[in-house]
Amino acid sequence: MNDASPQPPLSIGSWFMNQIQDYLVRRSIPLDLESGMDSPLYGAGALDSMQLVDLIMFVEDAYWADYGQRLLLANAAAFSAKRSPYRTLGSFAEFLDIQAQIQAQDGTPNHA
Amino acid sequence: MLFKFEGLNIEALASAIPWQSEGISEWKSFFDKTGICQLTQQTRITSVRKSPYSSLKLGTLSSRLLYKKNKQPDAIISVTQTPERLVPGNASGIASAMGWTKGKERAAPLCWDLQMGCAGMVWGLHQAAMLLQQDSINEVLLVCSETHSRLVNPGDRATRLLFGDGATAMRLTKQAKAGQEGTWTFELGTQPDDAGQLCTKPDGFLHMDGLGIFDFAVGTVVPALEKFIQSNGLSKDQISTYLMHQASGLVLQYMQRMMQIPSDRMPIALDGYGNTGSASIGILLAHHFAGTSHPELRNAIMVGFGSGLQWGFLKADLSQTKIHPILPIDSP
Repeated sequence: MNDASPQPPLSIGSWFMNQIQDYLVRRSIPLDLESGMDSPLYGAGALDSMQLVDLIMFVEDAYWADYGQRLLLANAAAFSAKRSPYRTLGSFAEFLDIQAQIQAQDGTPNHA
Repeated sequence: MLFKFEGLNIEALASAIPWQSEGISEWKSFFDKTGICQLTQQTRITSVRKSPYSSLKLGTLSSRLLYKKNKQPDAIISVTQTPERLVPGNASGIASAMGWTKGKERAAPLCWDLQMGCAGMVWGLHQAAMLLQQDSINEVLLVCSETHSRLVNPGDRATRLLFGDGATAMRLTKQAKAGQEGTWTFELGTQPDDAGQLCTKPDGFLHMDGLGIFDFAVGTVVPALEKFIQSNGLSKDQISTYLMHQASGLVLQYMQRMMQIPSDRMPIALDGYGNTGSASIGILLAHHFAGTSHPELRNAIMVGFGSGLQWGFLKADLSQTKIHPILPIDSP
């Protein structure tokens, strides 16, 4: 998760990619990331629903450890969105970035 | 919708589970081994109970632990989605099996059947509370009994590794004990499952959209539960124990995280049982709190949620409820 880096990475995208790679290794999931941030994350041929929820919790824990902010990334609006923010690495990274800003302003993790 | 009742008591609770089970070794021989290991970590379930007996028998055996000879309730409420037979429902079958038929000096208990799933125990308690408002009803037996393993498609990992069989019975009276808080506050709600997130289909099997159920839990149940706690004039910290329907490890873990509930206030009893539907909160109580005095259950909340999609919360004092240890049926 956050084994070696004393300073948080500058780019949320590269930090997120590192977390995804770490997660896939730890869970022995053979997901193809050759398309970089365009790689499909959730849906056909990618993670199933249980794995997605597991990944969300993994990323929340890693973000807390590296950035000191407790986030909630599984929320009703995201699940019901027509274009799921979890569909690709890039869309999830963007969603994470936005949620981090919103929840930092609110001062609490965002429920819905 | 909120409801409030006064002077009620959960006198005693008993649960029964079949000894027979299936787990990782059976699942590994049927499915992909790596996937099974991941899934059991996520669900926190490495085995589930698989009953050779009907829900009627499981419910009857639980009820027998609660009643001595010549004693009977005024009414029976049976909650199940897997009745032994559709007509008549389990409630009259339990009355018959218990020997509570019409006699010279007494009538047989009134019998109710509720076809409800994971929120069913709380909804059944609500039905019981309404009955207990009547002068003629002094005691109600609530029986929640499920054999969901019979609805599971053996080739469907999502349901086969999750659902288990079991039963819980409760004796409910209108005599709160000295020093016991007799007020019951309920919140009941429904969000119609138009997308079929947890439903049986024409193939006869139970189908589940895991992410849809997760969405319901975090997007609807958690906000409703927080509002319910506030409406009772309490903070989350003032709830002594959260008795959650044992849906799945991942769902419960995320709900706990959202509400920032300390682990010691949210007990879990999934492994070895599975998700036992309406019986799960009772099995949770029997697993962790067998005995007669439980100060940690004085300000408890039962949280049922699932198929329907429905939810039901009950704030009640269970600190003096007699809770029997789980009865394993047919144990060697």
